[in-house]
Amino acid sequence: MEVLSASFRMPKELFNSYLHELLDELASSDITHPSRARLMVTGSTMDNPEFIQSIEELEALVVTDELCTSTRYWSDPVVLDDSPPLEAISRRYLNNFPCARMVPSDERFDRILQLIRDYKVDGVISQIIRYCVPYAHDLPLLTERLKKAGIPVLALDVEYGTSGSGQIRTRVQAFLEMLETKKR
Amino acid sequence: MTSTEHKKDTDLLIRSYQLLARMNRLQPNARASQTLYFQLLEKYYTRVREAHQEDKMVASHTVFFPAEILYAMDIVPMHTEMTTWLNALILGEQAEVLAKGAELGLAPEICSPHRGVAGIFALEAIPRPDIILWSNLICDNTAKCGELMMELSGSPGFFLDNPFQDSPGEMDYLVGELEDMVHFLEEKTGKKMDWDKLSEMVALTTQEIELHREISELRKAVPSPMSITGYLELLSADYMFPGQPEAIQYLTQLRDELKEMVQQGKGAVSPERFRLMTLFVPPMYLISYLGKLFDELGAVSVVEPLFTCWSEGKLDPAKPLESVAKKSFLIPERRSMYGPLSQQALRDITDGAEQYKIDGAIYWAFMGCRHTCATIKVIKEILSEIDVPMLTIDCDIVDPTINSEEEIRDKLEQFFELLEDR
Repeated sequence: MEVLSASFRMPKELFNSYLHELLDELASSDITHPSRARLMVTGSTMDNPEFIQSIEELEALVVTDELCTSTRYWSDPVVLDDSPPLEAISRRYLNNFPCARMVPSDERFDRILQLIRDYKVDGVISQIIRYCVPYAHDLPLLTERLKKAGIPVLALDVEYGTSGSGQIRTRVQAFLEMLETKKR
Repeated sequence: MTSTEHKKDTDLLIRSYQLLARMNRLQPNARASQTLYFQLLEKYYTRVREAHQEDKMVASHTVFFPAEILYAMDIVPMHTEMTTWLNALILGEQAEVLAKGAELGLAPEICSPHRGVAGIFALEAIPRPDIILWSNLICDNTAKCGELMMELSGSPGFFLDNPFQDSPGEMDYLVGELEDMVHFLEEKTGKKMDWDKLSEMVALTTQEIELHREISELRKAVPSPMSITGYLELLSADYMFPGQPEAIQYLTQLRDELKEMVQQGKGAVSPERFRLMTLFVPPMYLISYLGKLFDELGAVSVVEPLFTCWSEGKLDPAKPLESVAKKSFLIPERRSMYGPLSQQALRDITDGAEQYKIDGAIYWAFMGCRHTCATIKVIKEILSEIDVPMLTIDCDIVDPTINSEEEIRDKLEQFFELLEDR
């Protein structure tokens, strides 16, 4: 999340050079992160890396996400072909990892389920910024699909800048305990 | 209540409208147009209830959906939001309906009418539709409620994508969307679109819009002839009977009554002390109360520029589908709730303030509607520039737990005192 936050602010060339360094470092690293549960965070924007940090302080590991300010931002690059640049950018806006505002929601749900399989996710934390209504409408439908796939969901209504303290920490803690019980 | 008991809700609703029409007829000063309005609602829900017996399909559709197409294909329309709230309000089931929406996992910031729509589908308190139709006109709640309705009813659905701007390219796009929808409906119902019938409905829609304009003109009179109770009736006429003889019959009756009152110099309230502009809609469950309160305080809503004043534009019966598309750009609500708040919308507000000689404006700030609440500051400022005070009342249009009658009375009385002191 910190890396992505930097990408929004830095000149792309500079950011990309640092990102390459980071990728090389990660590839050669043998550090592992044992955890109580592998989690995915879904929902709208998140502008506060401390939210993820506080989840990980509880010894869970956020292995993937489906956030506007993360996976949805980088997962489908603009396809550079012979078409005019504006057309290529427009095509990307219409066809990238869909935001909940897109109808129908099936593609969004399918891609979430694919990420869950790819990253061996144990549970999903849905964090929806208050008043981001498209995500709130999708939640019952998504929860139902995840339930069918055997993936528990913790739904959190948050405000911009919400950290993972207080009540949220307690709820995440309870969710992790439930996931651990389920694993046994 | 159980689902089985809720299945009788449509019967109860029909009986309620029969009763309301009968009671209205017995009141010496009741408007004949209001009696007709109740009769039309009775007719609307009787059609819904009896559709399957008559081998017709019921299509549930969201607000501002082009239901003319359904009428032209002999499909029975069921206006989702209106049906939900007429059911809940008339039968007093608002709390149960909203609680069911919450139980489904819908967050409280979702607009209450749409939480209620999901609730009422889950409770099976409306007849199960055969088809679900929804669109992004007028907001992201309408755009996003359809898939859950499909899931809850197990019915197939079609999403109609409306563009924001009225440009030739976007008009072509919308006509293409409508063509796709007609194909979808033909496939699902096995019936063909009757284009001649649709042309007739377009001609009636022109007449309907013209009647709306005449009614708006009559309301400029001092004293103004229409009570606030007529506001929701005006909206429902097009919501439920777009381009239908029923809408023409109701609007003609209302127009004639208002014309007679204007000729006789009669107002909806007497004496008329405060002429008001209404912005957005007041809580539906308070309409009767507001009618009595306004009567007592001498207040009358003379204009609702963003809800009852249609934009300028012509429909052509020779091009029915293009006209249905065009109509969606003329509907009054579009100006403040869909796409950018245009300079024209702001001019309509300031021109309306002048032409209708208003003393003040009331903005019913429905907390679940981010689209309209975002306009409050701008509208307050432009009204302030022409020295018109605006009262903003935070409210919910269907949830009666948000405002009490006493609170509304206090706020209005304080505002009217301010107007009187000016």
